[in-house]
Amino acid sequence: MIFLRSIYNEVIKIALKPRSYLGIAAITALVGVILFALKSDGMSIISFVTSSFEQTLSFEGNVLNGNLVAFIILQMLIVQIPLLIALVTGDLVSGEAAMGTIRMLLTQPISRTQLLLSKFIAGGIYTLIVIIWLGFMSVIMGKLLFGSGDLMVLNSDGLVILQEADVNWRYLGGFLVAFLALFTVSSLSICLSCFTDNSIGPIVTTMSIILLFTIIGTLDVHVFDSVRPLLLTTHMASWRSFFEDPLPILDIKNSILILLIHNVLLISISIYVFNKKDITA
Amino acid sequence: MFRLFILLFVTNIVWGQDANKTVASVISQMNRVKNYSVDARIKSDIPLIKILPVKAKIEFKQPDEIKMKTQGIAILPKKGFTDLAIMLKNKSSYTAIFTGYEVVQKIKTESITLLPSNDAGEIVLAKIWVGTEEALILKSQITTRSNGTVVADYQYGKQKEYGLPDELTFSVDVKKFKIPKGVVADINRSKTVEEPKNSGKTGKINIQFSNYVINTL
Amino acid sequence: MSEKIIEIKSIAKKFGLFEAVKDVSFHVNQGDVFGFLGPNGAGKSTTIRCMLSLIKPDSGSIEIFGKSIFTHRNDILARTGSIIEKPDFYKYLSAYRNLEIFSRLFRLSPSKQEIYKMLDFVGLGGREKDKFSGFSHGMKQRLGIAQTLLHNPDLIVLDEPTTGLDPQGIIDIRNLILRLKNEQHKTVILSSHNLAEIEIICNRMVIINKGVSVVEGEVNALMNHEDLVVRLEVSDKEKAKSVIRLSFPQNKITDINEFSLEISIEKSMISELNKDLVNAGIGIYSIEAKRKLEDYFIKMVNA
Repeated sequence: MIFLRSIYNEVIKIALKPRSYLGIAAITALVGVILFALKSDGMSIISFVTSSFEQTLSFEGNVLNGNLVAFIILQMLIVQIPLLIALVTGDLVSGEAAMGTIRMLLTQPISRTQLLLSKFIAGGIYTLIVIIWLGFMSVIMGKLLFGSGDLMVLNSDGLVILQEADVNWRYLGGFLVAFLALFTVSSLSICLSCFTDNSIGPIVTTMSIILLFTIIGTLDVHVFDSVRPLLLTTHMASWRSFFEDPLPILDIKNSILILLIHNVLLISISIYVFNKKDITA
Repeated sequence: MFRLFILLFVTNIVWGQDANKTVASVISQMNRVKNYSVDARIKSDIPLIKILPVKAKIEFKQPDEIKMKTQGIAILPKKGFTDLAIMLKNKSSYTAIFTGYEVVQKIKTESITLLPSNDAGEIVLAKIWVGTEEALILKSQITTRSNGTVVADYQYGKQKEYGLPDELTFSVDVKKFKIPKGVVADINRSKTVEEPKNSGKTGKINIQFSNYVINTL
Repeated sequence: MSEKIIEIKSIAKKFGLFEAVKDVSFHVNQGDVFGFLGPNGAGKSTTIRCMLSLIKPDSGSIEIFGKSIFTHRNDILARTGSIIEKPDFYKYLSAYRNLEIFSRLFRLSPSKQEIYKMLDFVGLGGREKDKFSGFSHGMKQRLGIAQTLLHNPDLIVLDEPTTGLDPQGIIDIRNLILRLKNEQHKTVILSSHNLAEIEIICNRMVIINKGVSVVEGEVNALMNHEDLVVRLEVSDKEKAKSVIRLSFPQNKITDINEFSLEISIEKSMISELNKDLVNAGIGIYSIEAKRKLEDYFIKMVNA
């Protein structure tokens, strides 16, 4: 019972913290700008992608539709969204230490493990809200402004055109996996938060790790082939696998498994560190 | 030498006249159709592109107004779909030359080359293979400056009296197709993906027509 | 004999190479107002944090309500309220919301009315919806006390509770502690640098220094062995000092103001002092005898 109340407390604290709305506002602004840009001149982006095909072929139909717009938005924000998550979740433990409230919290009759887990869950709830908002802004608003239609996806092995009826479940699957990926980011930031009493450190460190891993993942060179399967960011982008044909089920399952393992590891480390921590702040 | 010249001159006049006659029959058949609408099923088989068959509705109105409504995204050849018909109807824009007989789809056809009058135009060369008995185009080939060569095979059914095919199969030149690097952000790859080699020289686009509604619009 | 509420035996704690606590032992009885004294850096804060499971000691045992803090942490903390150093709350939340957040973790959460009543009780009535970030130091202390008492704990640990309070506030806290002891039979541990407060409020105390407990016991019993400090208000201070130096050359004399001085002296010698001054023709306006914890404290710490 106290555990549930603690989760409620943590959710309230996030909801009443002004910084929590930075992420939501940033998504609204970013997506709004992208939607405006695409509405103004979206066809030039598509032409850039299909340029080598357009010499011989023409693409008929509603190419620049809501499904494609949503996909473009998700691709563009792939690095930014984790940062917005870390901005809030990276503060959940270290912020309490910095504020001094950790002393008050840890003299309440709730175990440290329960308290920490309630923070993980609250971080997960915040992440879910961010994902739902992103989904609404990209997919729903995209379809309202650009209509619906087939989705044209450019992968490194070719162009895939997915039929409209075949797209919605892919987005659902993609968002679910994206949520798991972002929850892993949340877990990483909370874990780092357990090691320090500094409010900003875990946020910046999480951002740096995400950026570094993203760069390693994007560089198409063989020297990183052995490292890439282990990187969090490689599997963070597994939402994109839902837009391949045929669906790489094994790859997706593998990514889900690796993300789950990441979470288990991060949460376990956090519980160990948090329980052993001497509260001198 | 003089005899050779006379032979060629006479040959050209005879067979040149035949080419024009054949083209005229094709055009007259085309002109019987003032307008039509038809359901189409477009299936594309092109290297580096994966797409399922797409349904579309095509509406045509003389002289060259064509509208297409697709249920999704359809891939069509950039040139070759309507360009041949437009070119044929504009008699002054080309010279038709008979280049022999060939068997296409087990039918004897006249092979006619259409040389554009305008050297600077987009179409560099066109060729049609017309059945000797029914004056139906069974095969066409268009080469353009910017879009390469498109070859089309025609299959006819109930609407052959109007020269409207039941099936068209286009072969397009795909040698230049490649995936633009740097644009693709599929970082969900755990291994470096070698740039996919464009193994095919041609891609195929097959259009099946059904439910023609002719001259009712 | 009162039941032991807290029993701390030989706890020690090192942070790296620094020994914050070497060997601290003491016990607190049911109903005590227990003074916890020591100079800065003595290990008071570390000891209190060990008691409340914020820090794990390297060795030793801590039993509260007859249970070990290491194995019955939640049961013990459910009956304990505390302020450690300055009370810190969530700056972006109101006073009410802050109390609500913490009180939700009690086994029996108080109602909205109870929270409002407590805020009123500590002098924050009408400020329920004000953000904590806008509170003065005194208001923050009051909110801390409210949070400590809200769940009606059996054991209350107060670390410098009167810091930053105005004189009326200090009196209020003192009276509150005495009421908690006398009317509600709570046990209070009071850590403070205000020795006068300790002397007035506490019945038992421990003094620790350099991580070691130096002395522990009843305040009165400990002080009984010590010299009294007698404050004299006289007509001629310099002359009085000369007389005292002749009769009591070993005793310490302290100037207070133009007409007052203090002398440390055994209780039995006060009448002698009085006689000497009167015989020397010095007028005595007032004579007040008391023990001074401050002196005792300094003596223990420097021993």
